[in-house]
Amino acid sequence: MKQKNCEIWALGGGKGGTGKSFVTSSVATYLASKGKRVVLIDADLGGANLHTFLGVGRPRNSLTDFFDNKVPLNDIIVDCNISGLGLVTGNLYSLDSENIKYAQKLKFFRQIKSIDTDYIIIDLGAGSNTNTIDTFLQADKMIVVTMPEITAIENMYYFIKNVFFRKLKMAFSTYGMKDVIQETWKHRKTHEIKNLRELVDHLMKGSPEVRRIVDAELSDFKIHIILNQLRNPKDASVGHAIKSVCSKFLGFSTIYVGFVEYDENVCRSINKKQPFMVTYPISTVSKEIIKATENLIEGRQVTVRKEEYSYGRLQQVL
Amino acid sequence: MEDFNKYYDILEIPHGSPPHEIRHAYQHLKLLYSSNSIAVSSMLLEFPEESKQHILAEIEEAYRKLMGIEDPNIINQHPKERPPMELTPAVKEIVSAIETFGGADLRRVREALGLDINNMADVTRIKRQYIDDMENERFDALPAEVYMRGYVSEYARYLGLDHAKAASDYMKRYKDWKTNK
Repeated sequence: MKQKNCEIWALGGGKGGTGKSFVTSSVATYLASKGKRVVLIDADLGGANLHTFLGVGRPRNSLTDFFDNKVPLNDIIVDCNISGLGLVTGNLYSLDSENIKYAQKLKFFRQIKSIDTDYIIIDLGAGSNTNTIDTFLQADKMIVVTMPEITAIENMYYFIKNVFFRKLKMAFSTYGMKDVIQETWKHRKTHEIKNLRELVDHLMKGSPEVRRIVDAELSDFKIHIILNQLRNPKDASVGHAIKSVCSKFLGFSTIYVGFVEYDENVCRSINKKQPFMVTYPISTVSKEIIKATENLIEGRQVTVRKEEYSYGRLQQVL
Repeated sequence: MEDFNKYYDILEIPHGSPPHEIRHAYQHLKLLYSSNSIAVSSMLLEFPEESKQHILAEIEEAYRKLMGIEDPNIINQHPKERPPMELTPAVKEIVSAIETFGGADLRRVREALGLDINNMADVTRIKRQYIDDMENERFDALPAEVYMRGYVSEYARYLGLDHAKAASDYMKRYKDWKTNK
């Protein structure tokens, strides 16, 4: 059995502008500062800018060279000015479905897994296309970055539902029951299935084999949540609320690993092309990124401060 | 024997959580799903309104089941039908060391079972203030003797104690105080 030499973290989440690239580059910077070897992969379809966050000029080679010119992934990694941190930059159409054949995608995943490093952090940007989702599913830790804002949260739910649906389809495919999901969903009106949860409930009433597969996929499905750009400290509780909603409405297990407050200096840093964690190491945001990263490593939740839950106070928070 | 694990799951707390955590979780979830939290409303766009009501009903049921409170809609529910707490070995040891039951002893058992006065008030329907006064033996503040015996008995019964002895011991202390006044 091949020994796993690195851990893959993927950050996605559906809506643009929630700060995935900022969080990704900051988390990677922190890990590198702890002496870990980190490779960042910018797979943001909407515009790969990770190099800007890190203050590095746009590299010559990008993922396009991997997909079009068959340049090995290892040769596309460039140094950032941060010790231990390497970057694979993307391009506007890097993961565009039209350009990438299935075999190429598999090759991409294979090469990612064989990079000699401690951590591979993938920024998937916004969007829920198949290639983005498949890449997200490759991760050891799947992380969504969202904001305490209704449309961002809505998109995030949409994203994770799609991710699970895809995972379920692939699982059934592996067992030679590829059409079960498609057919059930196609005839959902007959089965009175209105959403993913009801689809899962319906499948759980099926044969023992179907039940076993669904059960295994559900138990194995864990999403880590980072809440970003908080303008009000009380919004931290939205993370716990999201966790509850995912459990009750979707049956998903999630870990709320951290929240990051809104800070004008973030934008300033980006505009100056200075890595924020390096420029503002003792800011609250940096501390929150560090805490979130440590929670990710340990698989730990944000703790609930009990006094917040006295009944009267809670009404204000929610 | 009913499986209580699913009720802990509904309240999103570890199996076997103590009563004060059950209560906390219940209040929190009840408020979350009745308020307009963005985390909830953004999901509700594709679920019918009934789902929210269904979840609230589930939360309510889980709380009642775990706390041993019967449904208030069932009018004929008599307090004496509520099941008593089960005593752990540690608590049994505390109880066996008690020769005569006074207010402080009753409180000690209550606390050892992880119950707070609010829990007791919910279950026994004895007023919070009376329970507090009873535990602290503020005899002058307590209601009439005829009611007190019943309250102490019900309180002790829920704690899994010998309620006849508890009531008898306590009322003797009460009578002694009255005599010496």
